[in-house]
Amino acid sequence: MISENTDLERLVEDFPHVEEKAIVNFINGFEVISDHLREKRKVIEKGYTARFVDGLTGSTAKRQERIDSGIEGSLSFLKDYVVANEKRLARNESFLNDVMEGVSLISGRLQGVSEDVGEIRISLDQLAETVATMEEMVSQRLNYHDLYNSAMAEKDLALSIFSKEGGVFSPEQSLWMLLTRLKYGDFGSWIESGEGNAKHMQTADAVMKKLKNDCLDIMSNLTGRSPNALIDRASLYATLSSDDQLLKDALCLVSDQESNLLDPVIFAVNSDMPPQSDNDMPFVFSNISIYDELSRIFEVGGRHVATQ
Amino acid sequence: MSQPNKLGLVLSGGGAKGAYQAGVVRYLAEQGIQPAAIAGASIGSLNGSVVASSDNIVEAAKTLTKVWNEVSDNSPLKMDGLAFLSLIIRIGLAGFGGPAGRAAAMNAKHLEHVLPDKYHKYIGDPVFFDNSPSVDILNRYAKLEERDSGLPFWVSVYESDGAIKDLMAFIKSGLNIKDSKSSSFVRINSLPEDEKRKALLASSAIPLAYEAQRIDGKKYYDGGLGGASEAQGNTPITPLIEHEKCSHIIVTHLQDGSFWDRNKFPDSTILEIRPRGIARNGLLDMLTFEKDVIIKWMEQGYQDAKESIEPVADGLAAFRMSNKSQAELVKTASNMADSLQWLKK
Repeated sequence: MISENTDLERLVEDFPHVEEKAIVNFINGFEVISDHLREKRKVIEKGYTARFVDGLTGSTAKRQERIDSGIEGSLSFLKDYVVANEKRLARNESFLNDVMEGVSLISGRLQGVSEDVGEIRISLDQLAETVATMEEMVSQRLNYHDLYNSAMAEKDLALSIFSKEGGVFSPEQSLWMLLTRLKYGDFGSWIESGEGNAKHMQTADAVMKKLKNDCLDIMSNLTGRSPNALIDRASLYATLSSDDQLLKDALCLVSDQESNLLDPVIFAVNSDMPPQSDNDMPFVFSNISIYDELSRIFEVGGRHVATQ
Repeated sequence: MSQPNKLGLVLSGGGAKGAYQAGVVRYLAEQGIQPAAIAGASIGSLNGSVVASSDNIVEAAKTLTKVWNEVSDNSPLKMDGLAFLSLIIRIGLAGFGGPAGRAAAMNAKHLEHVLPDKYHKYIGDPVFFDNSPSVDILNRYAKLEERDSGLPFWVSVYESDGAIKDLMAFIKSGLNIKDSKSSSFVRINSLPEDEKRKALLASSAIPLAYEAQRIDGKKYYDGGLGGASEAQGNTPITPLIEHEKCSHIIVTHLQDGSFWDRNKFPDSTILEIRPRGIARNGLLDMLTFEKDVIIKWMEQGYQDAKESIEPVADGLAAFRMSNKSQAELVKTASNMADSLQWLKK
């Protein structure tokens, strides 16, 4: 330790008034010496007789003794003070050396810390990038899940509507409207959102298969035909192009979904003009083939059979 | 063992120069320096009675200034005509009265046994001055009727061996032939009113000038007469150290170049206020109650107190600051050393 507990320091610690008394004696001692010197000077100025009487009575010697003892006390105090001060200076110098050593040590440590801080800064930048990427991924996932949920809700709602019996539309019309709605709604968006994603493709494939089965079941219920029972194309088209005004309005509504592919069909239905028939008309359909044809709308570049 | 930071105030004797102490007390009041115990001799005992009975040092300073202004307006020196006449008659009887007259003059003091105290001054030791002005001041300002109140207050008194003998002993002391016997000290606070008055009058009773006071059957004169070669009685510090256990004492002298030596009291911190030239006409100063001189001494007391106390206060403050600074440096160094150890690990 730097602190040096000397006997004197311990003494002062135990008896603080000792130091105080020494200081008061030192400073006030000069007053006493001055007083005696003034008196001595006065006697000298008074002349020989006064000096003789003072000498005879011993006052001169006594006063000189007071002056001398005062000076001795002062010098003794000064000696102690100088010695104590020198010790203190030496201690302070030692302290300063320690401080310098500490400063150089701290300087070295600070350089090391500075390098560490640089590395930490780079790591933090990388971490920030990773966090941003993760944030984006999470956001994408959340969006995908939202879209998936919406798509499934939409599908379920469409199927529930489709399954209702006694509607104003024929089952084929209802299926056509269901698939068209799904294609251009959140369901279609969801199918396209995971393009190239194997997991999504797998899920979408499973959903589409289930959709097909659900639709075929409903179709069979509504038409009373088994999935493989055949009908000709003309009959099918007749059911599609009925004069029902509601259907026309619905098709117009579907047209507002920016589906240019449907425009010719809609035009044909609205003008009661059957689309141009290919040479292979009449074409024979079954529930399965109707679904397959109509569901081609979900394929990239795919269209309804009516627009081909 | 002294009590820490208990301040005592010693007021030495010096007759009319006591005005100087009014200035000293005014400076103490200005600085808020409140003593806890007082000791006085001669005129210092009269000043001390005012300081000790005041509620605080500020009130003491105001009262003392008022008293000394009164004293400067009306000199307290009042010749006692009857006592002087009595002295002349006794001298006449001794010189011209034949054997019977001489016998009467020699044995007049035996009448003390039959006459009341107030007549003793006419048949005992000669007296020139009437002490009624001092009595009047004490009655009005010293609150003598209050018992066991005020600051602890001691006065020095000198047991008389007869006025002439006492004066001779004092002169021998001054010539360093033989020191006078020591004065004794009386604690005033617990005394009844009359005894307080007697003790205070005794403490300031210069032989031949004022009559001695009889306390417990003994005659006492001015406390300043005792231990005269080194002002033992005139600078009554002893009761403040031995009885009041003061750790710090301010001593006010009224004499140029006093031989009083503080080194004889090593256990107390003593600050002396020595007049920077108070003497004007030697012993006559003690009886000089002229207004302009009184005012000058009061002002000198104030200035001398300031010039004595200020450097000591500044010095102590500087040393305390230095010690504090060093202590902080050592503490910082210690902390730095600990930090270095930690860094090295």
